[in-house]
Amino acid sequence: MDADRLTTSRGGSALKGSRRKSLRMTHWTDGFNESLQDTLEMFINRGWELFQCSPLFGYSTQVNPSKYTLTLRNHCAQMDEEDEDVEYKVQFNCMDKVGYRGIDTIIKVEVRKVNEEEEDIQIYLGYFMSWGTRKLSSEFYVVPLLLFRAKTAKIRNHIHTGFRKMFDCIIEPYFLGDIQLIWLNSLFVSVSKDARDERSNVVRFTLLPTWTNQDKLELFVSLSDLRKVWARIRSTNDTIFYEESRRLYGGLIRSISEKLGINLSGFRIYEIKYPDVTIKSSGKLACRNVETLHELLTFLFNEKARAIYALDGSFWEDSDEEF
Amino acid sequence: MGDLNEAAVSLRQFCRQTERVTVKMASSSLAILQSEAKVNGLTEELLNLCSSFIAAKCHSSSLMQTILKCMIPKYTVPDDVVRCVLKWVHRNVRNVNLAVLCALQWVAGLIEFGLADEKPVNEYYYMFHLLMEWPRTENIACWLVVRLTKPDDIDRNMVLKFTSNVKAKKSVRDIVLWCYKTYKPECVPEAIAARSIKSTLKLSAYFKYYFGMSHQRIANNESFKVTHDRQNQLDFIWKVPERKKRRIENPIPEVEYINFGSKLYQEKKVSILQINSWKMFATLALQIDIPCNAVSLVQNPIGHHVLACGDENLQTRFSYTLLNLLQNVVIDRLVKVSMENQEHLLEKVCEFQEYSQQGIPFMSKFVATYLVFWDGLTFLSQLMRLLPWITFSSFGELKSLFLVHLYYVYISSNTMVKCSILRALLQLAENLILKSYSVVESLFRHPPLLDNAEDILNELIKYIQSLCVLGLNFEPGSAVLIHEVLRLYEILLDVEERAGLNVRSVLPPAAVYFSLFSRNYGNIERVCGLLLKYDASIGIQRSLQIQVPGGAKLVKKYSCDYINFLWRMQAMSESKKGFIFKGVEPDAFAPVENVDKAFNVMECIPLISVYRKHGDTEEGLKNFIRELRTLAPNIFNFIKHNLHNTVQS
Repeated sequence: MDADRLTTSRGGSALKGSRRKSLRMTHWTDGFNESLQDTLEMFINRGWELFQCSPLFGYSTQVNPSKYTLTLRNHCAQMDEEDEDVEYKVQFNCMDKVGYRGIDTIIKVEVRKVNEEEEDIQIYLGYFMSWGTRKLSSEFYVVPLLLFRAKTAKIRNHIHTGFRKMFDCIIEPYFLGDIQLIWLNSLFVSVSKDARDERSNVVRFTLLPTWTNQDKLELFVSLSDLRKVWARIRSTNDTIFYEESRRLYGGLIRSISEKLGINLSGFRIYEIKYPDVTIKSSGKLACRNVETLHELLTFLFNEKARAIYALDGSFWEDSDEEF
Repeated sequence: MGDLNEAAVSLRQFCRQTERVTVKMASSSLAILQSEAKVNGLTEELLNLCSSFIAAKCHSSSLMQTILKCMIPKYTVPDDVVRCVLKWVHRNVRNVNLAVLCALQWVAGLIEFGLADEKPVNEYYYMFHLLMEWPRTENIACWLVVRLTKPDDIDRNMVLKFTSNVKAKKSVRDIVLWCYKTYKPECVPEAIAARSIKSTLKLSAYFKYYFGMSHQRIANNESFKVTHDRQNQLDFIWKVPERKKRRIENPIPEVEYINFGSKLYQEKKVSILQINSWKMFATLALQIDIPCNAVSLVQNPIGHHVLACGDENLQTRFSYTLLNLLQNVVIDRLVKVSMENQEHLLEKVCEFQEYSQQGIPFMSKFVATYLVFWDGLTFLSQLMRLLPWITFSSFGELKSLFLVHLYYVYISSNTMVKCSILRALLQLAENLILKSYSVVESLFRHPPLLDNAEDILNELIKYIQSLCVLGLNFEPGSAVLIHEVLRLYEILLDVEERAGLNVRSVLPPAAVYFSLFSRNYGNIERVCGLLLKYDASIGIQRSLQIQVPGGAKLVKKYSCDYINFLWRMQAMSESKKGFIFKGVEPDAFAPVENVDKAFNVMECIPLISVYRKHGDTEEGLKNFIRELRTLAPNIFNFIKHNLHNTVQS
């Protein structure tokens, strides 16, 4: 199960901050506001791909956004398309001061293609997001999460190259390892809501063996059972501890391997599907519920913010520090 | 060749005759020319001949096309020939047929492949505008216009005339207007759609292929390299992005520039790609434009300089993007990059650190993260170069983040890895000494300050000492390791003396006695040299307050032992004053009766024992001493010094 690369048998990882011990959940009732709901409504009920992005340099809201749109448009026009007469339309939107504490930024980028028959198709829609409780820097934009939908991989690669040139950032896929997915599992158990239909209140785990891509294993667990077990394991209502998460997931795995006689230690988690949220280890996610989405985004942001923030601080990071 | 001459002669004849020339008449000679052109390309002479033929006799479209197909140059096309062709086009501009299209394609192909100068083509700029109105030639004329437009050509009147001209196709107009807009956005305030310009240049496959061959010939030809090939003059190589699609093979991004807005209104800055030598850099240093990716500056010493002396903004950008890049490429392996390229990236970063002679905080973070799962083999040389420059704020941090992992690798690897680790740690100690005891200005972002430099240094040296002892115990016979340890202590002593420290680090007993019993007089010589120097420092000790950890007593014991084992043959009998046999009974070596004689080390050393054998007589002894003086001066000096001392005491 320790498929995470930073753990070794040499006696613990050097950077304590890379293995967080606890996760504090935000209670929805305090600090809840309409704008937060509106912001998150954009993401509900659609499938998104998740990438990570290093801080953006050279983007400023003082500059007329038409400069960025023009440059990106010119860049798009250089795509090796067929010799059709196509026209590209780009839109940049920056929303400051959104989010739970009102200090986050969301930059929205939309690229549309108009071809000869005047058909307007959206080929790329991306949101650069930060979702934390503290402003990490005032000189440049720290927006480590990139949620987007793109028509094809070629379009996606081309547009990301454009961003790379314009803002000197590095955009890479956000890969979720086993440990992160175990965290997320316990988060979802605590927060997620039931489906409308009682019968489909089922959680599905998809496990892939590490030695081959051909086979996969799907486990179906009833959500209410998981909740009962979780209620027994957890100690406080506010905080989730790593030990507890491991126990939850470990217990599940162990009970199945005992019953079926399969050794599940060589498997890694590929996908977790709850009634209202789905997440894959390659970074694809879909969510139907605003609260769950909020918790999910906070977790993802904190994982990446640690790497960025600790650049200026010392190496001894407090492992539970929240951003 | 004979055929070629004949063909040339017949063409000249055609030029001179007054009757009309048809394709059939000229076909044979033209066919010969064409085959020559396809294989070798025509020389300038032949091209001139063709151009005069066009000027004189070309009235029909098919003849023109055939001749154009012959005009593939060997290297480049002279200006006059280009002018001649364009004059012909000008004559036929009202009557656009396939030949005109062919001629335009020929001209465009020449410019695209760099086979002709743009000056003569520029003269016909307005003609291309006219040609944009004809359906056949609009695309290629549009390409030519966009290629040749300069900012001075654009003004509002022209734009208005252009937009009101309905004859041209919308896409063509849009492309040209977009080009104008990038130069002078104030002249074109309307919203223009962006279109791809690639679809406009449709060269015929024929020209593409054969012009490509000419281009290749130019690239291969040595005499053209001086004027045409700029790259060879460079001392520094920058990667310029290629036109075709490429996968991420090289993690270091290429040097590119991106413009927001009109080129005209930006400050005149120099692109860093133009700098080829240090002299040029020195003159233009303040005007250099920073490329859009800060990490791309890592490729070159010039880039290193720009980074190290750049402003806060640039350095912050560089730090964040480089750390992200390293994290993705080396640690997480999200992007598939070959090992060579990863090594290349790390090497460039090492060079940058060495250039700025300073540790950079985020590199230490990377090293700390990577060391956790380092296997001791990959990136060995690069990591050993990175280690001396790591930054930390206390010994505890250094130990738990770096030293612990190095320890595990140290004890489980072979001799070479052990030696490299010891060397890297030695360099780290040297850097610490230099940094704390002399003020060094840091160019790059300021690393964290050390609060207890002396203590940290002491701890570090103790740690290094323990590693040495451990290594020697694991590999007792290893000549390489002994050499490395002795070298380490020699260098350390030297640095401490020069920096004016009041601490002297002394060899551990393991090193001293392993060298004594190693039967290699080179080692013994080095140890004797060191012992002499320690003695000298102890002598000055009282006046300069030099501390020797372990005390002067230890050094005395070493000296005693050495002199007893080497010269006096009193290894066992005087053991109390020494170190190694203290408290050992002579019975411990039971079968051996004369322990003193058994431990006469001089007789065991291969080379020296030969001389020693004859040393029992007075004469022989003198000879031996003379030999020793030349062969191993340090041993001689040591014995002399210690005999002198003991005589005194």
